[in-house]
Amino acid sequence: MIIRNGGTMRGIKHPITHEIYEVSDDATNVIVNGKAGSGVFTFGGEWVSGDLKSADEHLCGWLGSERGENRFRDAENRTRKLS
Amino acid sequence: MTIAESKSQDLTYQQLLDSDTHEVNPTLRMTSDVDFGTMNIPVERYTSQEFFDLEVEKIWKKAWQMVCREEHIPNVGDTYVYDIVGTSILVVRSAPNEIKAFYNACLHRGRQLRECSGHAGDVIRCPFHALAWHLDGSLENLTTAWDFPQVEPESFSLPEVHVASWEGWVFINMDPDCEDFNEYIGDLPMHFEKWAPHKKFVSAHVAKRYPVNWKVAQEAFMEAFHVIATHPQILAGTGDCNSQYDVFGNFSRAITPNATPSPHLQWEPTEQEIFDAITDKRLDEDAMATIPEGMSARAFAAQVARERLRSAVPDVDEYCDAEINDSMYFTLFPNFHPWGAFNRINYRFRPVGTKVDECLMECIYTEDFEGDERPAPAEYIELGLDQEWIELIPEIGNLARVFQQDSFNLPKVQKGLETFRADGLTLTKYQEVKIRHWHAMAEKFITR
Repeated sequence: MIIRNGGTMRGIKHPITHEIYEVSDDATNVIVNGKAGSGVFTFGGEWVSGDLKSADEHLCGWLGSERGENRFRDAENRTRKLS
Repeated sequence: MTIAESKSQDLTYQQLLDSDTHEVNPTLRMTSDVDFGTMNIPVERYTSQEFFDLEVEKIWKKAWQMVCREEHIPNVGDTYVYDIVGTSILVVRSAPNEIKAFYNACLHRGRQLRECSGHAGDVIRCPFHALAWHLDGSLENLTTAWDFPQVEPESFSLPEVHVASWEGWVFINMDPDCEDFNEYIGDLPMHFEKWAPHKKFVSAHVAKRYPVNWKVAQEAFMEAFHVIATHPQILAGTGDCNSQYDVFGNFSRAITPNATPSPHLQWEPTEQEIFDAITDKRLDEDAMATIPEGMSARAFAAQVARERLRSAVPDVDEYCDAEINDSMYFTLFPNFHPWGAFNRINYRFRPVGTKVDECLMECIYTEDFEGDERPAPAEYIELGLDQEWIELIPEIGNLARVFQQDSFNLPKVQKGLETFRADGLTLTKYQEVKIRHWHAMAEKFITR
């Protein structure tokens, strides 16, 4: 099963597993697609649905918060807001 | 062969410095050769009341510890209340160029002289019976002195604790026979010497309580070994296991290179992918900037960051790429963690009261400011046990999200430690040498 989300919205490719983590359209969950399947998870990494039953809880959490300032990106030049 | 050279077959931090586009700060070329072995750490150090009580008596009451910034008490009569393991210390700006610290208790009935930081005025007056002391600790008023025939006013001064300061940080030591502060911090000022002339102000001061032993929280911020699991989003842009760890006397140092990929990766990111990782680029976004052909992500990231720093740091071109890019995190025993170069971070960890399993983590941002007038220090914000770091994204930016990831582990670590049945914690020899150094220092203090 592949859970589609209209592309790779706000997505990150996991650097170890190469799965794609992306925020759902309604910004309530994380959708993970990889070779082992697809799944929907909470921002705490808990499984919600899909044939992929586990995900990286830290990366789910990372996608669950709005980006803030860092030394390259400040409040004025954010390229996208999460919600 | 130093520990840094022997640590692995990967690129060492010193080799990475060889490609810096600017002259490298000589302190970054320093390496230590300290071996703390491979002994396991007893789990009771995080769970037992007995060890906690030893820490109270042998460490907190004996070691130099940071209490505040000088700008927290800029005017004569300003006070700062520092509470640590059941003891309250009152730090006072007693004269324009003098800071004193006293046990925060009235000599009459023991009431706390002040329960909050702030301006005390010309005297420190007890709100219970109005006994008062001058800012230098000498007696100012003994209410109904005729009824204290046993008191000699000239010797009825507030008991003092030792005070010292370094780079705007104020320290105290409760041990009357403590080591001289300058000897205690050793060569730490030398490491900060190049960055020291910069005027700093407290641009954020945030904290969070955790339901864990204070060292569980502290040790989560003393190594880059955890990046592979806890912060996977930055692996393409952080040389986690290329970090260098050193121990110099009573302090330790870690340097984690940024804008270089983790050796853990089984693929080779392009220079653009490295830069994209450190700027948190998402798959459906354009890159924040395109790296010019032939330029490394490290050099480009330093160039971009220099431009952002330039207005507050006019001499920014005199600093090497490593000083601009990398995470340099020092630990002065027992609990103070100033970061080097232009990173704003300074941490302090300590127990809450005398609870073995509750602590406070503080993050104090200090940064350069434009002009001659130092801005007022930022207001202190403390998150409770049930609040989350991401509430503070407006105050500390993306670091709040990084802390959120670290915090996710902490209660689970404490719970695991209380279930632990193996023969002590098996730490890495090199990457967790800062933690090993802390425990070696603790043993030194406890067995004195």
